[in-house]
Amino acid sequence: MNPLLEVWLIVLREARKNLRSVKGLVMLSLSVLGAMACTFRIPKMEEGLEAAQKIGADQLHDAKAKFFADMYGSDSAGERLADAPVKLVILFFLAVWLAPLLVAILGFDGVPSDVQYRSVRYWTVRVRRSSYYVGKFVGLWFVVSVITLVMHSLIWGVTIARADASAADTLAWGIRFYLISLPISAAWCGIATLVASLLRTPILALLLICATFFTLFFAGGIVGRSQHNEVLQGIYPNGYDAWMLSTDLRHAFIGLAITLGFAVVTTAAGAFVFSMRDI
Amino acid sequence: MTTEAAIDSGVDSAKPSPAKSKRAGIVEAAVRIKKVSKHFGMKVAVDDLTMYVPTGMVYGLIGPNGAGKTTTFSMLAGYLAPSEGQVEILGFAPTNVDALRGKLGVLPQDAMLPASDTVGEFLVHMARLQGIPRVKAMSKSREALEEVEGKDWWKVRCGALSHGMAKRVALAQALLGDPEVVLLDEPTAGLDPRVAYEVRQLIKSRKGRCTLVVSSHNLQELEEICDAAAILDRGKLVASGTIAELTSSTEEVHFRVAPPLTPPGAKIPLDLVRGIPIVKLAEYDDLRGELAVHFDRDKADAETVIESVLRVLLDQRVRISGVSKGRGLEQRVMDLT
Repeated sequence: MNPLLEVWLIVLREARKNLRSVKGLVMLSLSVLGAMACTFRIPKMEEGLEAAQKIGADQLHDAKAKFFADMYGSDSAGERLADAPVKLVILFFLAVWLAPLLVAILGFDGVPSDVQYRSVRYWTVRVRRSSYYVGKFVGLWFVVSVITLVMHSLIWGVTIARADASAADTLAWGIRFYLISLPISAAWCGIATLVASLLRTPILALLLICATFFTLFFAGGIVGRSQHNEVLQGIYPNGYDAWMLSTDLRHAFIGLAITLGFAVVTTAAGAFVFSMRDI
Repeated sequence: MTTEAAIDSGVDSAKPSPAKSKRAGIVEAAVRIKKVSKHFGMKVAVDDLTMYVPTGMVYGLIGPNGAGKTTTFSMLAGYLAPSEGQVEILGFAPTNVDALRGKLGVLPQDAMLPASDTVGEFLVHMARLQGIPRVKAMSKSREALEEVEGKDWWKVRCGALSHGMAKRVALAQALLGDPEVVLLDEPTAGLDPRVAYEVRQLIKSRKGRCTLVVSSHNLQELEEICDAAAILDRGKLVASGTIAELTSSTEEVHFRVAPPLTPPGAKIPLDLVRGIPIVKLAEYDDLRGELAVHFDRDKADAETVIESVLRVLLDQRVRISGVSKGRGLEQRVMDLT
């Protein structure tokens, strides 16, 4: 059997299992509630900003550009985002920021619970272990992507319905933001699946995933950024959103390649270790 | 190759290897374990084990706790990698799932079924993974479930199954698609007597259709269903052979004597029994009230010996409460481990 078919069958099962599990439904509900909260809160923020500063559209554009440039540490990204509907930018920011949490909660028990309860033994006599592992990774990524898409779609709908932005602008920016969030969540999924697969106990896996994510955030997002240390910044997947938002295509491509590289390297390493170990 | 030779614990280098046989289109040994050891840190779980199981046999793995049978089973199923040596199923490493797809079925001992899946979803998923086309996966799964008397459980979540039901669903997944080799680890453990009986009948019904390797503590069960067995102790092979060989049923018969002997104070007529020409040795165990008679299987079969010895005992008014061929697998294992 083609390994891709093996992976596909595993992914289908993972999607079915997660999307109808209590955990999956709770995360989906929380994501939707979060998106709805943003929908109603952000217009007030926009109006407040405009009213408080008594500024016009051009000045608001510049203020947004500066704000987003500071937020992402990139003038190019700031300038680009200033044209986008604020609601979508904030949602994108939140989606990327919260992706590790979503990934940790959805992915901590994928491999460890199968190993702990030895259910994995039903699979390993039928599929290559590497296919099983890759299926777990892709399945997690798929579920995270579906939940994120639901969240994004809700905001798109509300933005269009309230005429906060044109349908064309909303979809163009919305789809772009969604697509940029995918490689970043893939990187987190790769790391989470690798870390979790090293353990047999799901709760320990959750703790280790959270510790790993926090370490990456602290080292890359806090220390690296404050000290302008590119190596440290480079280990934090969320830091690549600014790269992919850049107007410089080369820059955007490097950001994409590095985030996908995270996913590929961690998945390859995890699949290798999983193939070698006793289960 | 004779059965006796095939189940011998040693591996004759002159015998064709599975790889060579495979090229010739024949695989004589369905399962082959060659000089296999498994270490867990300093602990040696299996030590230089060599055995092979001919195609079509029901083969038992026997031994006390810690004997290494579960480790051996796990290496056969590909769950554990041997520290040294080689394990082959139908000529392939157990981890070569692509080559063994659909040919190997495994019932793991303690593996839980995925709680969130329904029985139907689980079996169809397993069927698809072992290469059964989508259109046939459902019918094959239903057939397998029906075979374990569980056709009403199709829509039941695996997490809601009782232990016995879950065991049978796990058995159904092992038998899905009629694999050539089926490995069963404690297939009747935790089952009520009726279900255990049904499972044994199911295993027996598979005889000749596939090669079965059964690991179990239940020696009476193994004696009933197996053609041959290997007895392990402390990671080493201490005996292997057909059940008849292991129990010496072709060269030993036992007579249980009902107390009291008549007349009171009488003794077992050992001299008369020993005087029967086909009897090699006769011993009476006072404590167990059992007369063991050894004979040369080339000169007489067990039935002839039973007839001759019974005639002598009954003439001497010895009351007999039972006769058995061989020592029983349980006694044999007790002697060896």
